[in-house]
Amino acid sequence: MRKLVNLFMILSMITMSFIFVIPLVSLLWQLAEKAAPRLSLDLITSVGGQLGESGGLLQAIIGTLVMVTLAAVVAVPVGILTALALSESRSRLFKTPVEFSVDLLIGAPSIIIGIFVYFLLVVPFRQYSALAGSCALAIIIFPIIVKTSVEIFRLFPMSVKQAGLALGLKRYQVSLYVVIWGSRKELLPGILNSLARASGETAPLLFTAFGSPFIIRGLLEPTSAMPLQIFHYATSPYPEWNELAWSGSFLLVSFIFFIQICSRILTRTKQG
Amino acid sequence: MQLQDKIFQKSLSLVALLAPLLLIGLFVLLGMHSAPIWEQKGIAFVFSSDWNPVMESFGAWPFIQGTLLTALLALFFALPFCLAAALSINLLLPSRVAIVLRSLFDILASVPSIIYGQWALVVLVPIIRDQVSPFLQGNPILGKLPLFQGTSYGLSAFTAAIVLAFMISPLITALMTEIFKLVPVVQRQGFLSLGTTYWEMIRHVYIKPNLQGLTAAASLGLSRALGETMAVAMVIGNFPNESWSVLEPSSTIASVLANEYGEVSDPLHLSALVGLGLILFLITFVLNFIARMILRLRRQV
Repeated sequence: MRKLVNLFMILSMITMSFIFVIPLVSLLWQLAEKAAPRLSLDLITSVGGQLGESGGLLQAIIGTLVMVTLAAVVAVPVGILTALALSESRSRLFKTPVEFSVDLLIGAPSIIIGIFVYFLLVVPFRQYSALAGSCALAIIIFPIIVKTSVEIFRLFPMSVKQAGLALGLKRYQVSLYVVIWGSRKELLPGILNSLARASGETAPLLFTAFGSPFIIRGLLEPTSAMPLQIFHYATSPYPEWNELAWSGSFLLVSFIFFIQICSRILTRTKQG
Repeated sequence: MQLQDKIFQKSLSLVALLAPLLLIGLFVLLGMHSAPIWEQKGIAFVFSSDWNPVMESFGAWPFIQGTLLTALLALFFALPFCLAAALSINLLLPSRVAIVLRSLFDILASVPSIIYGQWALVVLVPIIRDQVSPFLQGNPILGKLPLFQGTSYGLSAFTAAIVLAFMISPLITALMTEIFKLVPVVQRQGFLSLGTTYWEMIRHVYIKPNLQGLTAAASLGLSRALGETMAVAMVIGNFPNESWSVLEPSSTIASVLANEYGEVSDPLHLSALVGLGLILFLITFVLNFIARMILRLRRQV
């Protein structure tokens, strides 16, 4: 009897853990089936069409690229410096609250970040803007970057730091040139992952970047982004737009998977 | 220490203070801009259940109920599978297969919310409407429960919960895997050598002593499910539902924010929405706080 229970439980646990294959396969299948017949160059070279008409996604692609880049430019250095401060400091009084707030920021719902930035940057300027959108994205990826970088700095070999000091470098030089520059290859996958995350975020952009049918001309204008455009098209009643949404999803997922694969390869070559 | 080093240290600390400042800022701004609704309705805002922006009546309860119901249901669906997956990855599967399973979770985790929503809209909604709902409502025992009453259009808390379950599983599984990794091999071998079966060993060595940590993992997953916006907004139907039925269209705090926030003109409506946001933030904040405390204490032991 005990043996039977054992066998049953083990088999069912293994089966249960593979149930996750089903949604993934179904999702990828849908993407391929719905998007493949419509993939064309027009999709990435032209702007969206009139109401209900099909068109391209160029304005969304540009919007996403601009906002993600801008978010990364702010969040990556700030995140890495915060991580450095956390790994160098020995005072619990300083470390605990900072670490805790990083954890809690990671756990904050992204739509709340959207509301926050709405009051921070949209209300004062009286306009939805690409700037506000990228600020929201930056706040979302910043704690993720801190979290991954801290682990890397913690594992950084003490002997290398001491070697730097022994050569007459000042402490800050060791931190900047030895620790950060020396672990650039380890930091990169974490950064890439956070960029992938940022390019798929929709909720915080709803009332910051807002969306727009045109290519942006300035940072203080509302802009479209891939996930926003997909949401807009997918929930619209026009079949042409629904199809366009699938093509957009296909592009977005391919982009995200591409980044993920790059970061995988980087991690692997480092270990090998 | 030299002057430059001191300056560097100080500025590093200043940069690091940004994280706590952001957190405080979040609370302050949300509190400030939701003040009008609290002044007008006080705590009754949380528990009154009429939401009609046109009539200027705002009650948060239908959304709070919808949020809790959807997220708890998602957790209920996800937990057994996550536990099974974490155990399989750690000790039941050969390491090559375990790596495949782990990367499967990585892929699931990297798919954006909006794409889950779109997938659910096309694939899950018809299944729920045409197969699952008639089955549940036709069942002599389950059909009587208040949970499964009403007309099903496929757009429902139930559908949202299933998508959410898939979305939070990678996180929960990863956390549980980390917890199980800390279990000493010796304990496991000791138990097995006493003649227990594998399953009995799992129960006593892996699950029972780690209940606290597993709860923490589950509550982190729950808080992720509470705040998830896009996928839920696309499949839940967006109707402030007061009944406990999970097959009828319903709505969550995050979904009502996504739907109504962009079109607000009335300042009281706006402050009510921000108030909803504050409630959501507080719930996830507390859950996260407790879970992180548990995980942190365990690591120090």
